[in-house]
Amino acid sequence: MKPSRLLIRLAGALVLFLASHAAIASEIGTPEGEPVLTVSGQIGQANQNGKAVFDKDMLEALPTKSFRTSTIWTEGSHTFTGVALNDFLKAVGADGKTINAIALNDYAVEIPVSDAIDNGPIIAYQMDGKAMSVRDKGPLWIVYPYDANADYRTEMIYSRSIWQLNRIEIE
Amino acid sequence: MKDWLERWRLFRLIPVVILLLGIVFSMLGIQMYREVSALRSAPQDNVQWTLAQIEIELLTLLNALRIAEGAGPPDPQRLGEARKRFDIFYSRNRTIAGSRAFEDLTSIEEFSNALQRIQTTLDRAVPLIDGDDATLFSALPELEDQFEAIRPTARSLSLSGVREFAKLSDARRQEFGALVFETAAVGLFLIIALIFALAVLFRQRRIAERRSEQIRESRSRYANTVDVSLDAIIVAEGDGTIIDFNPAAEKTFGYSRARAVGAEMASLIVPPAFRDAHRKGMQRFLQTGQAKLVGRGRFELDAMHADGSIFPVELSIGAASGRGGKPIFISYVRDISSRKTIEAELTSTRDRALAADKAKSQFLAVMSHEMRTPLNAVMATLDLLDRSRLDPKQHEFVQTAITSGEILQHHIDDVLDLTRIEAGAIDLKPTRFDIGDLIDEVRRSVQFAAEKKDNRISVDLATDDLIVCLDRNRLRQILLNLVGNAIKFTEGGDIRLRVDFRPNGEDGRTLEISVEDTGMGIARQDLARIFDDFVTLDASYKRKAEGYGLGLAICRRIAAAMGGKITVKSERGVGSTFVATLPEARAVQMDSAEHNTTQEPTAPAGGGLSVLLVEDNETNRFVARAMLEEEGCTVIEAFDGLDGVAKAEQQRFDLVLMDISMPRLDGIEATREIRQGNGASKRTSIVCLTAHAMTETRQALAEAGANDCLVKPLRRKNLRTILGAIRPITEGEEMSDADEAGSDEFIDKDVLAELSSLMPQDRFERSFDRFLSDLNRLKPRLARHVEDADSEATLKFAHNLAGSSGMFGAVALAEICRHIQDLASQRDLPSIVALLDDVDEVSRNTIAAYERAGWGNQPAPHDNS
Repeated sequence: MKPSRLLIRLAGALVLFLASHAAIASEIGTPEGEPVLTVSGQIGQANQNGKAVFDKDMLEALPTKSFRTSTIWTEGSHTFTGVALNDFLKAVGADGKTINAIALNDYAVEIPVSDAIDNGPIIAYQMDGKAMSVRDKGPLWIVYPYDANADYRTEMIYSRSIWQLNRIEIE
Repeated sequence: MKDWLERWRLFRLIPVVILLLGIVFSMLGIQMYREVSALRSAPQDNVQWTLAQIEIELLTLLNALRIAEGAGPPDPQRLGEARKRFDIFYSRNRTIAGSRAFEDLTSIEEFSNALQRIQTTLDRAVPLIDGDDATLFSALPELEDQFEAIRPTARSLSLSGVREFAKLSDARRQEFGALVFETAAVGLFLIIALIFALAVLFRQRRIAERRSEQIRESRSRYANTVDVSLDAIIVAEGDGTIIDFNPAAEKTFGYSRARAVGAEMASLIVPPAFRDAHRKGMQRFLQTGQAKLVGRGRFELDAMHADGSIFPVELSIGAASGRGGKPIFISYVRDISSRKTIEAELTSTRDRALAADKAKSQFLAVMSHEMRTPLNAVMATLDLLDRSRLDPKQHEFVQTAITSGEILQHHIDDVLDLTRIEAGAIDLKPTRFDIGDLIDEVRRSVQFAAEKKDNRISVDLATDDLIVCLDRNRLRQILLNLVGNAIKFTEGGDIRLRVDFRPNGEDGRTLEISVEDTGMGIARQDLARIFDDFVTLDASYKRKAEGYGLGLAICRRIAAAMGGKITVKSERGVGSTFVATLPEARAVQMDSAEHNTTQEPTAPAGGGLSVLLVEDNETNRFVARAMLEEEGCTVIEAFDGLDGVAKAEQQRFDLVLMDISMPRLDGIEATREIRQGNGASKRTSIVCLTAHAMTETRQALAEAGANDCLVKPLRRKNLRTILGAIRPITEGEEMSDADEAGSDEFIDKDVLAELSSLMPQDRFERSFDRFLSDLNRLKPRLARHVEDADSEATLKFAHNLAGSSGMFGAVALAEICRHIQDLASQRDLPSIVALLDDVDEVSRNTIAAYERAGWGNQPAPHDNS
């Protein structure tokens, strides 16, 4: 392979990466359907009164991440699909240390931003390829890959695995 | 504690105990880790919160239902809220029913029944909740009632959950507590075991320190010992490599320690000639453990110095076990060059002294011979002159001359005697005689001298049994000397002779004769010296001594040869007492000639005998002829040995008188030729005349075949004795004697025959039997004395045996016994050891000779003819 072509490819990849990033950063879009998640606090992106409000389509438009794991609340293993927490934080331009996650039943939990890593937790919206209803801990559920990492099989992590998620505050 | 540990070697178990405890501890630790991990990866969410939440969420649902109901017309937002709360409650119930965290609870029947009831209620409500708003709105009161109805169920669910979890937690806490306790206990044991192990280790270390201190001390002691040793010390390995070389070794061998260590010992200090033998010896020791030198005490060898010189060393080698059990050799080496030099000097000095002594003896023997030859002639002439017709005056002159000549002869005899004794050639002839007679004889012979000095002689015989067995002449010699001395040193005093016997340890007696005088006595400092040879006592003593001479020295030697001694006690001005202590000889040699001397025959002794006189010296020939003719003999003269042999061949004589030292053919050779030839006088008695009284000469004479020997000068009484023993030989006798006559090599049958004729038959047989049994036990008995290094006992034994052998005619044995006697008197026991086998052989041959001659164990009936 000639060096000139390698350079061209690298340059191309860089341009694509920057372009996509810029697109996400600049525009998260506006909710058209029923809002499922409202993000407030120190965020760089907002679409409604300083808050970032997501409907189902907007979340599904973000990069998708999925893995298979068992949980202590379900029987057997399931494939969870959603947006990686770190991708999501980037998407909203979060600039804080703590994620304050709150559920429909007002269950609230603090998740340190440091939890948002590659191959870390995701904000799942599908279980086994189907959207989750509120009766099945939907529509959004922060799921950690418990099977992949023993560190995720602790009470602390279990408490952070909040289901029926509908609000996030970045502090 | 210590002993207990040592005895059972329990400290060896400590590592095992620690290991076991460690394993247990690790297992408990792993279990604990699992427990902790289990706690950490809590399989349950905060379940109690969830259980409490179910009641709260039920209430929230009921509240949402009431709000939706109370709003009048159906409000979609309030209905949506109610739907949401239903869903949340539904989700909660599903979560509890399906979650692993609640497995423990759902297995309880009461709990699962409650869950089931709630689920049934929920499931019944689902069509209404999922229906349209109007249906839901109208169903709200009904739903409210239904959910109100399951409130106690939800509450009991929550409470039983809390109760059960509390129980589970309790059990888990207890389990964990027990685990912690076990772990702590095992940990405690482990710590105790470790402390114990530490203590043991500490103790072992102290012991090791103490040992190493001891080893250091002993090493330093060893090093010092080796360093300051005056002897060279070389330590070598089995292959000969030197591993230590002390300063003395450096000095002795001329190699530095640095040079020596690591080198091979053989090539360094063993002379090239011995190297192979040395290496072979080492090899043999290493292979077989057999040692010629190692551990065998000290021995002498040659060693080589660094400069190549060879020097004698004394060394001893020890073997020890070195590194890995391999042997090491430790050699202690001492340079004995100087000692060897001194030894060599001493030996050569001694040899020179011995040679000088021998030369002196030789000189004395020759001188005495040279003096005796002319004196013989003088005395013989005086004898003849005395018998011729003389007037009284002349007779007195002649008597004076004879007396002086006899004194001169006496002195010469003394010198010769001493020489002979010196040469170990004293020849004792024990006989049985009356000691009273001898004392009388001595007294008579000194009476004149005693009276001259106004001394009185008294005799005290302490016993009646006066028959003793000793050499009569020698005893007389001793007595004459002692009494003569007493007379010399006493004036106007008393001289007392006392005879007594004491039993000696064995079966014999010891004769004790004391000669006591009241003379001037001897100074204390001179007492020990008076027995010495050629001693010059102080001037005053010597003046009085008037020719004290060699008498005492000779007497002492004679007494020693007899197995006895002479002692003296003396006090200045009071007197002296000499005591001769002499053990009685066991065997008696009957000397017929001696007996005959007791009577002085006046009739011619040799009447009718024809005598061949072989003598080269004209004067001596003349004297001897005159004497013989006076005794009535017919004399034929021969002028030397050859002449004598020729004449003896032609004519048969009754007696041949043969001088020893003659030109052309000496007496010994001439005798041999007569005996070996076939001449007329082959069996004639041959008596030799000699000035040499040495035993060797007598022996040579006996071997040559001479019958007897007369020591010059020839005296009438001796001649008469010889002649008296010879009768003219008749033809018949000669024939009958042909078988028996002549001496066997070992026995003289004539002697034995004569003895048996003289002694009563039964007594002879007893004596002879005893003698034969003595012969059989001869060697071991002699060997025992020699092994005991008891030269006195050996001397006595040989002396007694010589006497009895002589008596029974065992000539060869008598000879060898006399030789042993001489050796024993010189304390030369090693030479006697060398003779033991000869003695044995001679004694066996002697017995055989007796048997051949018919004298075996059954003595032949003696012939009286």
